[in-house]
Amino acid sequence: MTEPVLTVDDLSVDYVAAAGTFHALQGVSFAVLPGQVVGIVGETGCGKSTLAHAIPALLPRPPARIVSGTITYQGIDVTKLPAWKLPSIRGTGIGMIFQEPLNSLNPSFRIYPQLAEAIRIRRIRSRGAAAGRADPGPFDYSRAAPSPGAAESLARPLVPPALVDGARRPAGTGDRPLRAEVLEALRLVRINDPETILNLYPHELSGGMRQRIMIAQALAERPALLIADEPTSALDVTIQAQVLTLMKELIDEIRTSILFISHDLGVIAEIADVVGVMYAGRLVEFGPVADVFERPRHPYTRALLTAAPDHAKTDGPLTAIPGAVPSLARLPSGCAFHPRCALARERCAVGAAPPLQPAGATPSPEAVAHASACWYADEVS
Amino acid sequence: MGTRPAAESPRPVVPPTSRPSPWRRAGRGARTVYRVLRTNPLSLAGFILVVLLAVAAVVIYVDPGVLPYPALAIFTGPPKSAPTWGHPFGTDELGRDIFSNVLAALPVDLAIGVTISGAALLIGGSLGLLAGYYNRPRSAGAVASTVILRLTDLFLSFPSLILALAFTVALGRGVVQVVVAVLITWWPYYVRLVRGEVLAVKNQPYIYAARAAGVREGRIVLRHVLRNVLEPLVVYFTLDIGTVIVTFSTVAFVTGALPYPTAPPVEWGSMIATYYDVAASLPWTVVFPGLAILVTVLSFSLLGDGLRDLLDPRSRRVIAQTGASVPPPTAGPARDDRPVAPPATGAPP
Repeated sequence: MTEPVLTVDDLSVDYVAAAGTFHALQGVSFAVLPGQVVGIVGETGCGKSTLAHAIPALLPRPPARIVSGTITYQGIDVTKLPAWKLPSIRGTGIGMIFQEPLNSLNPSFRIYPQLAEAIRIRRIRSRGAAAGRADPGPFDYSRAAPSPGAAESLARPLVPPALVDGARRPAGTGDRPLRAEVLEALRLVRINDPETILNLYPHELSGGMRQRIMIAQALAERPALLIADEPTSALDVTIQAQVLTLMKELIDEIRTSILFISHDLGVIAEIADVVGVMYAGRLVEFGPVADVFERPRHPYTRALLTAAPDHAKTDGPLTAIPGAVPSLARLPSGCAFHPRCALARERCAVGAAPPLQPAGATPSPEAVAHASACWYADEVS
Repeated sequence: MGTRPAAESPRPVVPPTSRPSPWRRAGRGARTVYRVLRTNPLSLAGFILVVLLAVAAVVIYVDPGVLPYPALAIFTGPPKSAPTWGHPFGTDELGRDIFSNVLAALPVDLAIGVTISGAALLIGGSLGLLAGYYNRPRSAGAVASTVILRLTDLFLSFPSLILALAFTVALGRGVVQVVVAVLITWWPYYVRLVRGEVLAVKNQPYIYAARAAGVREGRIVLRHVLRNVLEPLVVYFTLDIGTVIVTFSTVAFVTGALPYPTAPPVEWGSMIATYYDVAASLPWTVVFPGLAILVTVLSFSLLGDGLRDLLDPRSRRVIAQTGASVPPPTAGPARDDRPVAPPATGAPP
């Protein structure tokens, strides 16, 4: 069996605040295999972003507190790593794309230095022994030819040429190979006019362009694992579709493992191989995308799928899950979903939450088992 | 508003091989500075005045011979003379030329203003950066941060002028003593300013993004945070130079720490202090040093306002391109990237 890139085992994270202790993550376990795209879905406040930030140890501690569990990346437990060693895990090992493309680029720097910094970090790391990972060398960009269709139309000149005029300091003329790599990184994300982009400030670019540059920056470091924390949520629908198309193409091109966090079932269905469904800080279902979406084994997953807006249906109220998401500070006993669940019985309301159990025997050692955390999983579908 | 015609021919993107000479780059930078400052005539005036004052100060410092009469020289003309062509600012009761002395004080006062503000900027700024960035609860940084902030509060709890006067009296006469006394009361403001800005910047998503990209903490502080704090800091620093000159002159005036005719260097505040007794009969002896202070402070204040536009990449680019201080709707901040019909040439399905 192939070694996973990332193993999260029994991870529990609390936020300690004046209003109480919020159990943001409880006993979350899963693995990401090489080249796999793992999607994580769930409602707002179910712990998705906490999970995304916990993996590269980006959670501000305090208020966050890792109660238990391990995050193993390349044989190293990230939760035990001292702070000064963390930069060697981040970037080159675990790259990250954030939710807010509008604010994720430093407003005071032009695009060139921001991308060059990422590439420089990779070069420095690859010279020293960093996180046990050899530098894969310059990426073979020849395979990343400009893509057809929608992506191309996105990369029209950004601004009238006259506007670019004020700052024609040819960025990075001091280091030709670095400049070339920056340009290639921009071409990889289908930016047709990278020479122009280099000299612009982030505020001169649209949200879609900025997210593209964030993706370029994350990929420029050639991470073994890319964490995308709702990368399309802040964008409007058209741009969302374009960024998604781009990411799908990149997945085929560069075969990096990706942990893709989203609240959008459609996005996950399109992009992920394996999906994990989260509810109130727990992973309630985990399995191959097709299995989970066609034969859900947890009532929450089924309710979520039913509640997804149907574009064909134009009138009548939208389907919703009755009740409200419980506060993470006061979770119900037993299964956290039982107050809202149609299948709930006495057993659901008492004791510990049901564990995440695979359904039957795994078809093959390579395949990911379809697991769910419900006592009555067989009755769901 | 010098709006440029929209149909200007687009210049070609600089090919990667061409490298403009430093002179041409400096020329372009100067043009951008001029374009931005031109939109606000007052800040352009401030900029020109500051440049003139600085050049004059350097010339006077390098060659005091350019002064009409040597500083502090007595009987250069008739005593108690009102302003004449020979003595444009008049003379005092011993026939000292006020014009020459006001000019001789220019390099001294500018140097004092820049030194005190600069040292306060460095000391207060670094402490503020530390206090703002390293304040994670229950860490060594939090302890240092608390110590810095309480110390700052201690100094800020006194009226700064009174504190500066007290230190001057304690330290004794002399330029260095007064500079130290003013500096002691001056750095806490920079701690507060920088800490506040750092707190606002340090939790911005781009700082997290830099951290996620593997940038080390030291570099995040010194590059990503500092660069975003620098803009208000430089503006404040510029405005502050004027305030420092006023405060220094006030301290010199009140304490007489720099007895003007007997102990060089000449300084405006101490000139006014010396002539205070004869102000009623020889008003020009106090009016002109006072005017010198006024003009200097005003120049730096006007420049500070202009710097705000110049240092912000957002307003700078728009102003430099359009000549307008308000972004016109066509040059809005974000580029529209709605898809147009894709070129039909050779796009495989």
